[in-house]
Order: sequence, then C-alpha cells, then structure tokens
Amino acid sequence: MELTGFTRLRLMDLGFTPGVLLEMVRKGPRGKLMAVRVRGTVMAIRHTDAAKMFIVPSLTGLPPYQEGPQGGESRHRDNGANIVR
Amino acid sequence: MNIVGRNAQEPAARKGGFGLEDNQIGDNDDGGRSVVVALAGNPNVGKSTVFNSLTGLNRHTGNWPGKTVDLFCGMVRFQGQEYYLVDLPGTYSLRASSIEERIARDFIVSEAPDVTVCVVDATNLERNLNLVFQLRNLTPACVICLNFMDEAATKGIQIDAGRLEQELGLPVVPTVARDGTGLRQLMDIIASVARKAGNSRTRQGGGAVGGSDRHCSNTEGSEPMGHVDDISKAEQHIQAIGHIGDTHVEQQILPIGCMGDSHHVEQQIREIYLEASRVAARAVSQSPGPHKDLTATIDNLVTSRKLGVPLMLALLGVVFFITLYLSRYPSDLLFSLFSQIEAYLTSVFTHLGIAPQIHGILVLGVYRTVAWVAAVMLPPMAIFFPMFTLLEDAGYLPRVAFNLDHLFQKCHGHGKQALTMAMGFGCNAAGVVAARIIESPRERLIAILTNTFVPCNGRFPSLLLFGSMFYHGIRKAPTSAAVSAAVSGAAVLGSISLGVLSTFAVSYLMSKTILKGVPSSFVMELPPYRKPKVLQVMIRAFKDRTVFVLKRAVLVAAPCGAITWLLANASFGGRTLLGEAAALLNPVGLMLGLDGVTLLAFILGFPANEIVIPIALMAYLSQNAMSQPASLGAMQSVLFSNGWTWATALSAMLFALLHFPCGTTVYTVYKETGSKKWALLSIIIPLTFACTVLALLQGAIRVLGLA
Repeated sequence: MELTGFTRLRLMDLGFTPGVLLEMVRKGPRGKLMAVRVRGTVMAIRHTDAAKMFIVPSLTGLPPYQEGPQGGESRHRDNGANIVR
Repeated sequence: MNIVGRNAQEPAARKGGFGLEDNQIGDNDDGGRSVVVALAGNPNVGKSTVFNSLTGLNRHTGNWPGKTVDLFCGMVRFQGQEYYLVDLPGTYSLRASSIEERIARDFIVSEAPDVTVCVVDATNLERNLNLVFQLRNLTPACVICLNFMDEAATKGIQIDAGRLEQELGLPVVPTVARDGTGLRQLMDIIASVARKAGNSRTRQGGGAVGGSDRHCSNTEGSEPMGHVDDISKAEQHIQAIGHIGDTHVEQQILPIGCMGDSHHVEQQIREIYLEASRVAARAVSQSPGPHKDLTATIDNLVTSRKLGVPLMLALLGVVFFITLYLSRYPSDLLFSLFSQIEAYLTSVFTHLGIAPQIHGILVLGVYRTVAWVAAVMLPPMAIFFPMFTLLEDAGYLPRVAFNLDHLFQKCHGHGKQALTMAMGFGCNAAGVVAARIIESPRERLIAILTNTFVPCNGRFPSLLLFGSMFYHGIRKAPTSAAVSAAVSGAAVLGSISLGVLSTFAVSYLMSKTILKGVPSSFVMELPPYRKPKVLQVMIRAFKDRTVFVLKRAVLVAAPCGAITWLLANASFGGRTLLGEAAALLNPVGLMLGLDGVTLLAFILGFPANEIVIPIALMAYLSQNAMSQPASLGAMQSVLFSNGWTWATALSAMLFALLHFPCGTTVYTVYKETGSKKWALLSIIIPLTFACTVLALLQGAIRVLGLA
C-alpha cells in the first residue's frame, strides 16, 4: 500500500491488511468508485485509493485481475517499500 | 511516561464525568448505586435495536460535560438492580481516528463503565473482532452480544458460541435483537459480570503501576494495544484525554494517524486481524451452497448506472412532497392552539394589572415568536425525520453516497456529504449534526459549512412566495391555478438545483482556500439491507432529531422575539426603531437589489427562516407585532405595493437560498465544531457568497437595462 497516514491506518483498521483476500463486488458511477468485499463486508472505496494498493490476482486458479464488473477475486499485498511518512 | 497521582486522578475523572439531564449517576461507592453499562459496536450491527429493546422508551440524552456530544442513555431495572445503559456511537475501531471513535474510547476509559457490551454482527464476525480485541485490552469487564443470529442462519453461517467464548475469554450471548431473543440472557450475563467487576474494583485500587509501554511517549497518536496491564493502559488514556481534552475538528485537520508511531499501530492492526481470522476460523463454519442475497439484487437496481440517480431523486421527491403536503394541517392546528393560549395569557396579564410593555415583550414578543417557530417547524420535522430515519435504518443512504461520490470527488468533498445535504432539506441544523458520519475532519467541515445552501423546509414557503412573485412581476396578467402550481414547482426545483450547485461551487472554493488539503480517504460500508423496526424508528427520530432541533430553535427564538418586539415598539422621533434600522440598511439593501426592510427582515429572521416574511410584512404595514399572513395573494400585493419588482423578488429568492444559516444551525455548528471561529465562518462564507451573487445580478440587470 502506498497510502500514508490517516487513510492507510483507516483502511487497515477496516480490514484491508496486507495479504487479505478482496472480492470485487461492483463498480461505481464513472468508474471512480468501487465496492469491494473484504472480510465479509462490502466496502466502497475510491479508485484513487484502490490504485495505491498493491493488488495481485488470487492464486486460486481464477482469471487474472481485470477491469470490469466481474473483476474476479484478487489478493493484495503490502509491498512494504513505498511507505511515505 | 511517569504517571503521578494516579489514585487521585481516577475518581476525579469519574466525578467530573457523566451526568444525566436530571439525575446524576451516583458516586463511585459500590453500595446500591446503579450499574453503568456501555454499549459499543461497529456501525450497522443492530446496536441501537439492542439498546432500544432493553431500555424501551425509557431513554434520554445524557450530556457528557466538557465534551461536545450527547450520548443516549436509558435505565433498565433487572432483578432489583438499576442499570444505566449508555449507547456509544457505532465505531469500527477505538483508535480515535474519528470523532465518534474518540467519544467511544474516551467514555470507556475515563468513565470506566462497570460493564461494556460489544454488539457484534454474527454474519460478519471476523471484521467485528477488531473492535472486540481493542475493547478487551481497554476494559476487563466485557460481554459479547452476538446479534443477527437469525440472519447468519439464513446465510448458512453457524457460530459455535461456546468455542468463541473459549477463544476470546469473554462471555458470548447469541441474540436476535429484532424479536428480543437472547436479551434476557444478555442481562443475566451483564449482571454477573457487573458483580464480579464490582468486587475486583476495590482490589485493583492499590495495585502497582505496570511498566509503561515504550510507545506511549506520544500519547496523542500511538494507541498501545499490546498486552499491557489494564490499569496502566487506562492511565495512559486518561493522560491522553488530558491532552486531547477538548479536541475540536479544527485541530483534527492534522491527519491523526500520522502522529505517533504509526508503524507500531500498523503492527497492532495486523496482529489483531491475524488473531481475528484465527478465532473466526475456529468458531465459524459456513455451510456450502448458494444462499440468496437480496442485498445484491436490490443493489443491482439502486446503484445501477441508469436507474440509480433517477430512483434516488424520485424517492427524495416523494419524501418532500409528503412532508410539505401533510405538515400544513398540524401547523394550522398548532397555530390556532397557540393563539388561544396567547389570548389566555393576555387575559391573565390584564387581570394581574401587569404593565403593557411587559406584556408586549413577554407575550407579543417572546411567546408569539417561540409559538410561531414551534408551529411552523414541528410538523414538517416530525414528518420528515422519521421517513429519513427509515431510509437510514433500511440501509439505503450509503447507496446515495455511492451513487453521488464521483461528483463530490470533483470538488474535493466526501460522498457522504450528499447525505448531510439530504438531511439539510429537513433542517440544516440536523444536516450539520449528520456530518458526524464523515470521518475525515476536512471533508466534515466542508459539509458543515456548506449545508445552509440546501434550502430547509422552513425556507420553502418564502422561496415559493418569491418564486411566484418573480413570475407575476414579469407576466402581470392573472394566472390560472394550474399555472401557479407549475410556477411553485419550478421555483422549488430551481432553488434546490441552485442550492446544490452553490454547494459544489463553495465546497470547491473552500478546499482550494481555507480548507486546503488532499482529499482524504473515502471508505464506506455498504451494509446489507435490513427491515427497520418502524415504530422504534419513528419514536427515535422524533425524540432524537425533532425534539433536539426544536429545543435549540426555541432557545434561539426567545431572545430574538423580545428584541424584535422592542424594535417595533420603541419609537424614536416619531419613527419606530424598526423603521430607523430599515432606513439605515436601505442603501446596502438597494445595492443587493433588495431594500432596507427586506434586509432587516432577514437579519431579524435569524432565529428561524420561517419568520422572515412575517417580520417584513410587520415592518411594511407598520404593525407592532407579527401576525399570521392571510394568503399568498395578499402578501404579494403588500410587497408589490411597497415597490417590489420581479428583480426584487429574484434577488430575495436568491438571498433566502444563499444567505447565512438560521440561529439554530449556527448554534449547532458551534456545538459540533466546538469553535466560535467556525460558527462565525458558517455565517460569513454564505453571506459573502450571497452578496457576491446578488451584486453581480444587480450589475447584470443594470448593464442589460432590464429594470
């Protein structure tokens, strides 16, 4: 996650911790928002925030992450390098 | 950090603490006092249903001195013992990154409730455990209320409550708060935990202070969540509160997470979630197979690209229509009731031989203004708020924010600002309070300061009047009923759209000037749709919102009523002070396309927008007190005969839409931000904006030679 400070801790507090499984639920209007299922809850996050997370497709044999409403499951992981204070 | 005088500190914190409106919670002595039970939980876990089902209608607002918040509390009598339930704000965490989290944490730490109940969503255990673990570290006496067991069952989720109890080391009570299942057991457990806690409290008193956490040197930011013993942790928190004390939104503009050792906090979050998923994996089993997901089906419709926004507008339109249409009758009823009381009061005053001036100030000034405000404000709010709260409880409102967030992104606001705006249509003061749901301080302030651009229903009548005058000023011919209905509709729609546009414009301007900053995160849960408990919601909306706003309105209206009456009656060289003031304001008024009387009416209408027109009429007709205007036509002819044109009407309409918020709202801004500066800015910003718009309009009219 290249997010910093408030946003970073807030997202982590809501369950977006490194290594957690995310499921794309739906896209918001104009693609600026998305609804993601994390630890059983559907959370709406902005595309700009999501873009700063390091997300890789899950290793469960599902198709690679793709844009679009049916996005598929993906796994995101902290790359740990770009943390800005 | 060395903590000195701990033993003296704790009782002090308790004594200066939580007070109810009329009865104070007893001293710290354990003999026969009522047990204080705090109710914590994530948002959308049915916490308020648990609270309401336990306390019934026996609940009221408790004021927590020194804090700008009211918490709801209620009394439960169970097996001969009194329990004070305190409903803490719903929070995902206690890291105090938002105001509500801070309130919840501060309460648990400084008030040290005897028992803390954490309401947990059984369908979503893992995420909820985050809060459970934090609470467990903060207070020893914790009870888990595992709510929505029925919903979990339909979703094929089985939870082994015994196993969960073992894993957490805390008592777990499965409940279905909607129908009351398990609530008796919950009270049983609370009672036994309270007894145990009561015994150990006296013992803990003399204990040695544990080695303080190495990260607590910065009390503001780092939340020691490691395994430090509870007493020393509580002290760190009390210290922290000492620092934060009266933290206001302004100070919170600094990203809180940045202060302190965020790396350490991160580590704690990771550890907590690691533990949470471990516990959840052991206690929860999910039966395979597809389970119907009604929420997804509804969401496909409500958040769809084509239908989402039209559906939302239609829904809001229906809510407004019902509010405006239905509130007329009770308003008229209240008016006649209040005027009967006034006649009675007058007869009492004459009977007692009280001087007419005193009667004037008290009855014609204070009483009549207060009664007026109550009669026009109460019915629409009593209708609007329950409907709004129903939508809220059903889970629809976050979808509105989801649909509209892209617009707010553009002006660096927050999607949830849409919800505060929707609330503002009912009452701007309530809209300002609703801004609490925005967790980032900068965006919250933007929402608070721009809320007045949404016309509350108190301004609808004047907008209607000015709108139809604008039309009649241009087309002098008499119109049919159908046309004037269309004109009224257009006036309301036009001013709403204009208000929304102004909101965006001013939000953008503010985020580029006084509230600079990167837009902070937008994270919002889209909770599953749930059937609200209608009756409970109605009563809650009425008590929490309607009565809340009305109380403040009366507080503001009373002194203003006295001032207005004095101005209208104290004469100075043959002219009343009201006339003098209007003459004084006339040049400014003309510059804005209004006149002195109208401007004065807006100023004296500060307590409530509803009384602007009555004051203007009073001044034009040189009456000594406000009286109920006869009809729309009569009001129009009075204004037209005093030199109003379509341009005056248009200017007045814009001014009514954009000018400063009413006294109740300003007072609420002060309460919510805790700062006089922001309260003052909540007047100055819209006023500057309104004057600019009006002056520009005036210039355009002159240049184009229209009037």
